[in-house]
Amino acid sequence: MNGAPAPSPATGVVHRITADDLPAVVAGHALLSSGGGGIDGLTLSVAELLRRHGPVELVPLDALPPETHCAAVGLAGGFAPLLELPPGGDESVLAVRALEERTGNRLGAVVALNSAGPNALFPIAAAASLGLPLVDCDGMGRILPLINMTTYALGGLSATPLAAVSQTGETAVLDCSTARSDRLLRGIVEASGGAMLCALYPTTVGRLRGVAIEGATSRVMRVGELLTGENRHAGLLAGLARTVGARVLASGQVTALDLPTPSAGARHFPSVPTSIVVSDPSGDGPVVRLEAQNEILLALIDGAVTAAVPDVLCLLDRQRLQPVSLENVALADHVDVLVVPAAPMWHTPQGLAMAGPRAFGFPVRHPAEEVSR
Amino acid sequence: MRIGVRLDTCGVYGALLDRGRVLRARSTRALGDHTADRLPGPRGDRDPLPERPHPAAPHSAPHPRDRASPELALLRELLTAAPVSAHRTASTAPAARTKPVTSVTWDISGILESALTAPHGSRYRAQRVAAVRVLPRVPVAPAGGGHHAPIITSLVSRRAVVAGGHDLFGTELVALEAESVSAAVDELLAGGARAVAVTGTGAAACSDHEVAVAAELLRRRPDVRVCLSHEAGGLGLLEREAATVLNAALLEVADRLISQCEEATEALAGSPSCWFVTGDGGRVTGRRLRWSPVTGLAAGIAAALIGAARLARVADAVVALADDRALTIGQVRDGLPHIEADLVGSNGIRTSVPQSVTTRIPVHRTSAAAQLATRSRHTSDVVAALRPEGAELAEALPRHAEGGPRQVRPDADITAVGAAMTEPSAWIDLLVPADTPEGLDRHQAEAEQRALGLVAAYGAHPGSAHLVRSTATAVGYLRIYRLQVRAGSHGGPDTGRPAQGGAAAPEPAAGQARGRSTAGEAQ
Repeated sequence: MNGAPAPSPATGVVHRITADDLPAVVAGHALLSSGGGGIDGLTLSVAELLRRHGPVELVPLDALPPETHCAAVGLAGGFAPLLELPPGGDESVLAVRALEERTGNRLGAVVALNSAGPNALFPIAAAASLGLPLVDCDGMGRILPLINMTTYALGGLSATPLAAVSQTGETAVLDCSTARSDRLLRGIVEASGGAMLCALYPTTVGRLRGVAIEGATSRVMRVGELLTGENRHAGLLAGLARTVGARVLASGQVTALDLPTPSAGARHFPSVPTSIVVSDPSGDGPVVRLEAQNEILLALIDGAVTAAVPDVLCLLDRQRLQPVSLENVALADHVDVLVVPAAPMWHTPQGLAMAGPRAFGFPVRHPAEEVSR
Repeated sequence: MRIGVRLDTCGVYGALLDRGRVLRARSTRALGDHTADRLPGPRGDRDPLPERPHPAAPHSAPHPRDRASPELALLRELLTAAPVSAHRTASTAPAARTKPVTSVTWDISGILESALTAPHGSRYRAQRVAAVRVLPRVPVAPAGGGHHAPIITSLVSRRAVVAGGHDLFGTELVALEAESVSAAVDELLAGGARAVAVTGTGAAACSDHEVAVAAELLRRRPDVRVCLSHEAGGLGLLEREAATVLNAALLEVADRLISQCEEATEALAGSPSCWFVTGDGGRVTGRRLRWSPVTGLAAGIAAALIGAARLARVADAVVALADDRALTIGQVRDGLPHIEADLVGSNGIRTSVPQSVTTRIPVHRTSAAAQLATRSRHTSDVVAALRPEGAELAEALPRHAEGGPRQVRPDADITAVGAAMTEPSAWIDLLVPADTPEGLDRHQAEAEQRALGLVAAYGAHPGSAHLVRSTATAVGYLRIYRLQVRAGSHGGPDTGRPAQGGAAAPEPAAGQARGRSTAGEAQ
């Protein structure tokens, strides 16, 4: 096995993540993942790892030598299995060691597959357990349903070989094309209980430059600080606009919900569609229709596409000032519909082809494409 | 007529209602304290305790606990205000007769909540329990498991992990190890466990491993009390474990409290039925609450939301409940509090048991109106004082005529009022695999029928059971749906609300009620 280049002295450390930072990370992940929910078991485990192994150094890409070996860490699978099968705490070490065994390269840093949802926490757990720095970047800037829907793949990095570990401790190593990786992995994930922790996209820090979304983890923490610290509605919206460019598409009540049912189109993704209508019950004002497949993917106002994936769409409960998850959205909820713009590389033709609305089966253009026509 | 009572560590607060209107309210300062600190009567008077019972009050059979039971004393005081109606005797001469009290509904959530953190020596203190988790393998961080909620940690005296568990499809992940079960049971029983909470991975989809652990426990010690997480239902190992631990810890306290309430109720004439409010805004019998006391937590807020909305005569509203330093804001939809599972309660514990969705915001008098305005629009709003100390904050909000919320001032404890207005309900939360829309429809229909059947079995007025909510939410990545079904019921003619398909009893306008009732006045 090749020796890992020593990371440079921690001169460029953005932040030392401790257990005290986790409430902000947990709050922030929800906004960037169409809500999310309680991940207390995961949080408990990560907090224990941070206490046991010490703080994790969050570093920018340029703080590490370009030849440093690194890999992405993230959970593949469903959110519900994570609730039912909380991590035991050693999955990330098992996955990374299995990947190192396969590649022959010892890692010098960990990166996030995507700093949103539970995957905002797993890379922290991995970095803590392995004693490695966490690079402040990710490959999605949000949650997307396939492990190959990343800016890493967009930039030509291979998702494989990858190692996946279930909560039962079962380990699988996949060698296949990036395009086939999600399909093959999904079968194993389902058989293993519904979620597996993966170490994937083995690469070097140098090759990550230009293909990673930088500042992803610190962005989640800033959003979380706002959601946990601001109790004024106007103040929260202003803070989110300032921090992540969030804007309010519309406000109103949830006036209709289509029950999610299986459809042929949805079977292309491990998800099921839902439709949500937000409007003013008095009949005044616009009618906002949201289309979702685990995440909200499309917003139409009075029939016109106003926002779409890969930009993040989410609902903010106007009373609780917290994101509303798709699992918990209910008729008569008072909500703001927010849109958070995706990283610029997602708005390129290649990025929109991979993760734009047409990639999810919606025969529409992203608003950015309309502007450029 | 109905009586609602809030039983708290600070006192007993009762309200007598007739067809949804408050006739009288009474309270005692503390349990065991017979000194009445009464709220104004129907005419705002503060008359002393009557030396003799009201001539029209029903004669209760002497009860051995009379002298020591503030609950019964309070119930009897309430009945002194019972309206008298004329009826004819066999000789056709008119005679006075008190309208019967058909039910007494108790909110004991305040005592249950405080029991969870009560110190040694307290009259009501939750017992410590042992917890068993059925997991595919032993966690390393935290070692052996653990829980994020400090109260749960403090309630669990011993923990054990046994190998086993299922996935969300109900497929066995790891076979249950008999030796592991035996060793865990040995250890827990040797440690003196009297109540054990068993939580299995995937138990909501397959409860076999939980049942097997319970069987082993009971085989060794038939008197040990065992609570299983699949009975609480819902998704999430820690959420179900929290519900199960709380349930086991509260069994003894709830049993004593419920007996106390039942004895007081039974001593009233006319054999009124005895009920207990639950956190979803429904009510259950004492027998059911004894078995599932965790459902009695958070019941007070649910009842208060119901009471405020009903007195304001609105079915859908954002309701703000004021105490001395904060507003607790919740929603009432079709007369019932909006509830969800997996919420973090006021005790800081996230459980799978449904409770009202509320936000508590600390406010000062001066900022209360602005705080409420930023959180609510599109619906009418209702404000009520949750406790007497909250009256000043509630009054600080603008009047309804000025575009502000409707203010409800029932001159009675709003929780006790709401408790009297509750009806039997049921909540089902389960995971089902479904490959086709037809399969999902079939599962959902079965769950709905089960929920309706439960409401009927819990004592709903005949023909009044109905579905309040039925949702099927896709579980991401898997071909599994989470079904959440809520069923409720309408009361009989004593509630002022119709049974399903019936006509609503006429209710006087706010102005008409004034002077002969303490019913809330919407302003």
